[in-house]
Amino acid sequence: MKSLVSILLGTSLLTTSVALAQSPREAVIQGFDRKAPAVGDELPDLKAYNPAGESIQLGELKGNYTVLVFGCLT
Amino acid sequence: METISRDYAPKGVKFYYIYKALAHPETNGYVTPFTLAERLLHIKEAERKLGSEIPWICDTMENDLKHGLGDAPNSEFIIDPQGKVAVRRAWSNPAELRRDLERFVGAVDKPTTLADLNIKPLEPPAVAKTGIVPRVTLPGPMQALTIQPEMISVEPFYVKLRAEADSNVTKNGTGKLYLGFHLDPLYDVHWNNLAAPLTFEVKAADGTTISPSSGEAPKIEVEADADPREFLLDIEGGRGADSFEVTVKYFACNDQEGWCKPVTQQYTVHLEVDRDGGNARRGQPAARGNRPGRPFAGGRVGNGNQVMGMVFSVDVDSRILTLRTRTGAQREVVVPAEVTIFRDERPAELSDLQRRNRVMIELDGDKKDDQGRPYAKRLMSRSD
Repeated sequence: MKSLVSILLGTSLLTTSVALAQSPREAVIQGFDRKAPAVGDELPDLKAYNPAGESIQLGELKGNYTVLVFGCLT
Repeated sequence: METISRDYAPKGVKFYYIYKALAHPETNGYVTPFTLAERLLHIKEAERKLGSEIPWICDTMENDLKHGLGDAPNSEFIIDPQGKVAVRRAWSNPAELRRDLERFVGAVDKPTTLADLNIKPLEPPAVAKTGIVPRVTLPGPMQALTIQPEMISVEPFYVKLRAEADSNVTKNGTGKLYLGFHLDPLYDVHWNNLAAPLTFEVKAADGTTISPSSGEAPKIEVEADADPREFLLDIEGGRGADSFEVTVKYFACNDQEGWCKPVTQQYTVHLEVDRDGGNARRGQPAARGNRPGRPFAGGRVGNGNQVMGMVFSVDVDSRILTLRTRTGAQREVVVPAEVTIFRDERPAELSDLQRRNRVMIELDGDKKDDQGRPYAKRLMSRSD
């Protein structure tokens, strides 16, 4: 299976290889383990925007299972 | 992710990508947005370029979502109907995500494949030639500095400054500074090389010397191009000083809208690491047009030193990995036992690799076996 995020990651494999020597990925994972809300925690009700630029709150994401995946253009 | 969404959205699962600050500015020419409007344009560009159907949520300019949800560039979460975190993962893993959803809401009879979606990623638009102006050679790893564009006019920042420094600068105020002026592809502009080249001036606080304190981009023979204009500067005695100002002047042209005009813009550059500044890709093509990436001095990893493709077969005993490259060609690589292998971001063995796994192999220089097969030095793989 190939996903959008995988496409983004796939195009960054070279960078990742260079980065591995410095282990930034491990640092990111350790930081995530420390800082991200834990399983069972309430999702923080943070402000964000929809693609129209309208303000939304993450707390609105209730009522269904919801998948959130971080990504960007690069 | 798109295939999982296609399978599980009908079961009531909601999917969102969260747009965050760029992880790798300069890739495909994209540069860090200065405004929310520009971030929203990046989302449109992502939808256009990648053909995705999953809706996006845009992080704030203060990066509240990134900071509040673990500060990882490609993390994923499953939120349960009560709004609580059911699964969190530092790096997105579609295969594991599908298994999670099977556990929560049940399996699907016939999982969608990428071929079913017929997604055709598009290349970013190119408004002018690239690969014309040589990139600067950096002395080593650099860190993004926090910059503040000064909104002195309603003119968009057609050209965006990226400022970086070596670690000495943020520690003791002395070292190398990188100033790169990058055209923002959102505005379809190119340099007007028939006019005066880009110039910049730096104004530092008393007691701090930045040299040169001004500069001019090279005169380019072709009428137009889209390469960044880059400068490497020295800063001395910056300890205690927390910022300096940059004024840049350039001529930009937009052929679609039929204008060329002089632009003057200003920035304040803070001598502090921008934790959301991302890492510009170096030592490899930036992939927009034929623009080369910024090299490290002595550290360049050229394309010839890597092989990418999908696993076709693995001979664990002889440690030969056969790949199918994007051109359809098969290529064999020797993977010695001491080679570092990662699969889905985790340490792995050669025997863990499976057919159709995507791999990137960094080769061990020109080393080859008696049959001409190159040796791997490092191998990364993804199972999705």
